[in-house]
Amino acid sequence: MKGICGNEKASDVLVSVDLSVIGISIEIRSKLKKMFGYSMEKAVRESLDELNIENASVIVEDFGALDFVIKGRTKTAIERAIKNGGGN
Amino acid sequence: MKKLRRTMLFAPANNPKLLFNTPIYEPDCIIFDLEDAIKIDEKDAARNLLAEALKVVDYGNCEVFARINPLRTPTNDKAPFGELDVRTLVPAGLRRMRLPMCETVEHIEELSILLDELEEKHGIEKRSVKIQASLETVLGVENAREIAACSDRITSISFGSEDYTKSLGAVRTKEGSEIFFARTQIVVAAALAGVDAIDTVWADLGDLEGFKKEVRSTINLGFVGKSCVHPSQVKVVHEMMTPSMEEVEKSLKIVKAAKEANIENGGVMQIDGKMIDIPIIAKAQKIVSLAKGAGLIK
Repeated sequence: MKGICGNEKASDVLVSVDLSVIGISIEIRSKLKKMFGYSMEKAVRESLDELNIENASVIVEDFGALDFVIKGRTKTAIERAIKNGGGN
Repeated sequence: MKKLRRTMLFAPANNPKLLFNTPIYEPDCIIFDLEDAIKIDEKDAARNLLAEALKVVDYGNCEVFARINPLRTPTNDKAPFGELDVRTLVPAGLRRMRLPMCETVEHIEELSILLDELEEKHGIEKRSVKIQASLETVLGVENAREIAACSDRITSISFGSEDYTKSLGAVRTKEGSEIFFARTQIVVAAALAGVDAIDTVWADLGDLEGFKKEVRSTINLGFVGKSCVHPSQVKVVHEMMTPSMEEVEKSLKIVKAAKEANIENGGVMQIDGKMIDIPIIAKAQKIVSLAKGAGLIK
């Protein structure tokens, strides 16, 4: 049901995904949220769309990650959640 | 112009910083590692991270490789990660891959069939995804000639000394007599097939003199490049593998004179009192090509 990917290290991000919810919710925790929160959320949404995920709660703890890092970590967290029994 | 592969700098594919920082060290090639540097439970994360990086990062003049996981286990069963690596990374843009623990022509054929399928499915130019076969076992080295020549996808073969000495039951030394046979076998196989030979890594980062000595032997044996495990090694290899301007000018003179005298394919001539024949012209052409690749001349 839940999947986590990433690290609490500079230039990385820790993404937690729960697929046992209804609808999409995305929480961004970042010192740079004011400047880059929108593009971080966009990276998460694109990842959800690419994997056809319609129901997910996503928490993003950012440590200065570029968008491609957020996408890679989000996709892996989703795949791990599916492996752990989550479905969409 | 022939692509230079003097240095192949390893970087673990699960480190976000290295995925965009590694080009600043200006290696000829970057090899993002999905195999030994990545823990089993992080293979998925590394694969997905590299795939996303390949879609957006501009690696400039660096030729980008991934060292994928093997397609087969040592007992020849299907291995769990290799095929997934290829299926994820080729659609994301990967066009060069090092196949580790390559031992037989069948290993290349199996990978090539998978690449045929992916090129067709994703509209990628046919046969454009290339393979570097990594020979790192006794069997792989024994089959070097067949492997190097078995497919137009093979652009280079590389040597992995640690696994090789393990499979041989030999002790890996700095002096390297135990790997002399394998290194020469690989260079000869590559030359016969017309592909590049890439030498093994030097792991002792504290021993710069030892590293330089090994790079000198890398060059003398006929390898065109060396796998590097640290950015500091890149500069050393480039300095040692790049011809001096004096050599370049001398070579340009030979190439030009040979062309004018029409003896590029046979015959002899004299330049500055020295006899010049085909092998010397060929060496001069190689130096000119290397100088062009390194940006010393246009």
